Amino acid sequence: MHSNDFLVRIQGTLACFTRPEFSTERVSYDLITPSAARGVLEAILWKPAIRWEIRRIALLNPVRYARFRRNEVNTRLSTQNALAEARGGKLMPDFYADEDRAQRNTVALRDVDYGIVARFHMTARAGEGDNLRKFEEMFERRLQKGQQHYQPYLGCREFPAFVEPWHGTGALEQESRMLGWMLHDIAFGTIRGKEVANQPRFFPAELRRGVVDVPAWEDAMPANPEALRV
Amino acid sequence: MILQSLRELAEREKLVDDPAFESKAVRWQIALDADGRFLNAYDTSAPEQLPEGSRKKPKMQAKLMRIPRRLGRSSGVKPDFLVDNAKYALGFAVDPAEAEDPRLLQCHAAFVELLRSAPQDVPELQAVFTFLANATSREACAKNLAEKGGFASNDLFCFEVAGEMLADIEELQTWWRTQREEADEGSLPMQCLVCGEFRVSARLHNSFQIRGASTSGVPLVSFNAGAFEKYGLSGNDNAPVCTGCMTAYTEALRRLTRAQYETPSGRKLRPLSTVLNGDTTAVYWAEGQSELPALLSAMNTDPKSIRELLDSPRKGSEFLLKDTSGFYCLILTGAQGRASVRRLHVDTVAAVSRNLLLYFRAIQTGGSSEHVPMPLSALLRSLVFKGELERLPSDLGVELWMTALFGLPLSPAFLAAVVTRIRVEQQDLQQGIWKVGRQRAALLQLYFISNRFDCTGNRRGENDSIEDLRMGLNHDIDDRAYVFGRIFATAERMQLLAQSQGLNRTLVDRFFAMASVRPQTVYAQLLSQYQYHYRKAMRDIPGVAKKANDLWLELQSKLDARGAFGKSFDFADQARFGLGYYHQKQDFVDQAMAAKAAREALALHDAEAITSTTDSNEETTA
Repeated sequence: MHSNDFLVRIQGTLACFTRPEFSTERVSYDLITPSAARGVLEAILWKPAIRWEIRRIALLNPVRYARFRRNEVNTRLSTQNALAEARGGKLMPDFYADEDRAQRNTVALRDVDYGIVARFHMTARAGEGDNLRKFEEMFERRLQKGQQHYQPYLGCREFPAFVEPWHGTGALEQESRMLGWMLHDIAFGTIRGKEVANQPRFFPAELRRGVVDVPAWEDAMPANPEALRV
Repeated sequence: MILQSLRELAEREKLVDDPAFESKAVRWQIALDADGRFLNAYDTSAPEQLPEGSRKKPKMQAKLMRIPRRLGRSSGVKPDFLVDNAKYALGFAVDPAEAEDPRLLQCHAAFVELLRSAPQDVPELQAVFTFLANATSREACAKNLAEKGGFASNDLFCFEVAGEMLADIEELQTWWRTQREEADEGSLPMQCLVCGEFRVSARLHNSFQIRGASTSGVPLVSFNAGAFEKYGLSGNDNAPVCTGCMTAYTEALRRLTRAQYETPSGRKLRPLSTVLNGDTTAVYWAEGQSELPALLSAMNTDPKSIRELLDSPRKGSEFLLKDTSGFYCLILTGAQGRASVRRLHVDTVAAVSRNLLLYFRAIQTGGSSEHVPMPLSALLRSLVFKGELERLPSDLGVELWMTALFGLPLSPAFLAAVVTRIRVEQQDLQQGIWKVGRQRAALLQLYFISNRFDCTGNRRGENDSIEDLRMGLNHDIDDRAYVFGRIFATAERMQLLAQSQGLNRTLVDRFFAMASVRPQTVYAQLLSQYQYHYRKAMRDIPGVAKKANDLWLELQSKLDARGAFGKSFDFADQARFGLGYYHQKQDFVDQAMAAKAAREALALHDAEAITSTTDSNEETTA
């Protein structure tokens, strides 16, 4: 059971949809990944009862790159320490960014403009009072008014996205090429041995007349069912 | 996409036939007899083969051998199988002071332990154990190595027992292959981002050597800090690449960057890479059998060959300019722990060929050496103090490369770098250092042409072809900065006519920097200086001085028609000023050369006329 298709335009001056293989010295994919587009839509509306599916991505501006270097920290915040402090336990140790940083390169995109065709599905967590029309109207209303749960962003939180309804035209029809294997999304909570692990899922992306058709999530699942049990 | 294409390159050129083995330069071959007695240490290095006519001093290159694939190590003690450096293979240190270093002993012990895990029924292996256990033999080996000039810390050593190479023994090869396969077992498969198949991902990616990185090599993909890891995945699971794809793409990178590379079938391949500055290298390859990538490696050495091939009617117009196969370029910077990607670009061979033709046209500056295009490195060197490429910011090198190959417009930042260099350069004619030399003029022209202007900064038509581009001095242009540049060159000429060569401080030294930025502030001084030089020149060489003055008056009238100067010139104006100056100067040189050639032709003609008259007189007399 899925909703109608929604047409959303996503724009921004800078974007970095980091390729996993180049995520230490960041290099962006040529255009927005389905998972990044999902994140943008979830900023407008997300409920446990729905799951977004990106069906098509249209390229509305030519791909342009920008390169810069930034000082970035090398370590991550300890979740356990943060949780302990939140629960009133031991205070988190001080962290000085200038003592733990490295200069890292980023090959980002500039002046991006995408048209997204997406729909949502109802999940098993939908309550009795939930129905498709209710969420469709909520989304339409929030998109028109510019209401967002959090600032949508283009791959990295420091690159904000500007979102508005899209009329479905303007794809660069002269752009057709193979983009290689692109990240579809992360299969969250996959059981790997005894541990719960997450796994990236890739699909062969092809830009045809300025549009990438994204396969359904179920089609991007592993061909080897023995390897993973979801 | 790029990794996928690199893997395809490895498959197309058959670079990997066995992922457990690789071809590597091994400098030292330790020869033992069947009982493990030391015989000799052979240095396999020989001078590299340079192209005919090359004046470069040949480097010594060690012999390529097929050896068990090295696993790469960044820290810790990790031996390679059968072939390794002196520290691991022999327990020798380059510096005698380190002979008793516990880490040295640890490294050598780990190497021996790995040998002990291999099948022990191989007699050649036992001979190696005997040699390594015998202090006298080891001493003899160390002495032998010292007599041959010693070894470097990263030189590789292999063993040869009774004429047979240890790495060629089949039982040892089979064991090594099994070891590599077993290492992959135990991990659950993930989807490989290069081939899309569900396979066990490589725990470590192989390294390759690139400028700017450590000499032992660096991987392209690595995760060495917590900040890089996501979604609870650890290490290279963050970017799952199966061992087969990993081996193939790294082998392709090695093939592109190594000075000498030999495929498993023994085919020797030339590198497909160009150095852009101290730590940045461009590597490139094409999908089909195109000649273009091999040609491009001559951008720094023999650019003439590239232009000639592109211009040739058969290979150029018929093949390269119509070849729609893919062309890939990756620009890499070597860093301490890994190679980082600066740019990646995909286009077709035809588009790159067209862009190169435009590039070669744009860097034509006229002059006697016009038939030889400038090497890319010469253009880049002109952007830095004393031409030291190590000082060049890598962005400038990358930008010039992208413009030459992919037709991207040069940025205002690039232009700023060129005009700033021109301004600050101290002209030294004895050492051949000019403010606006051929290279910098070429870069200014390239900036304008890549941004859809003509070579003097005038907007050109949308449909103008490369052939329509008019290069060199343009008399019709009355742009203020360009004309002022020409005036400056004329004033400099008048000074030379009045005061001859060898001046300590010319008008260029005194006024160029200020004239290019704030022309109004030096204009009055320039006029008074000119008048002084003109009067003096008229006394000494009135004919030439008058001709130069006619040009001066013509240019002045152009300048007057444009009204007063603004407060200052922006970067584009400064570039036009520089080009006006260079084009006018070049025109003086061309006129002088033409006059000289005409004089010589006349002299030759007169000489021939005298000879023929003498001959006819002699015939008449006879």
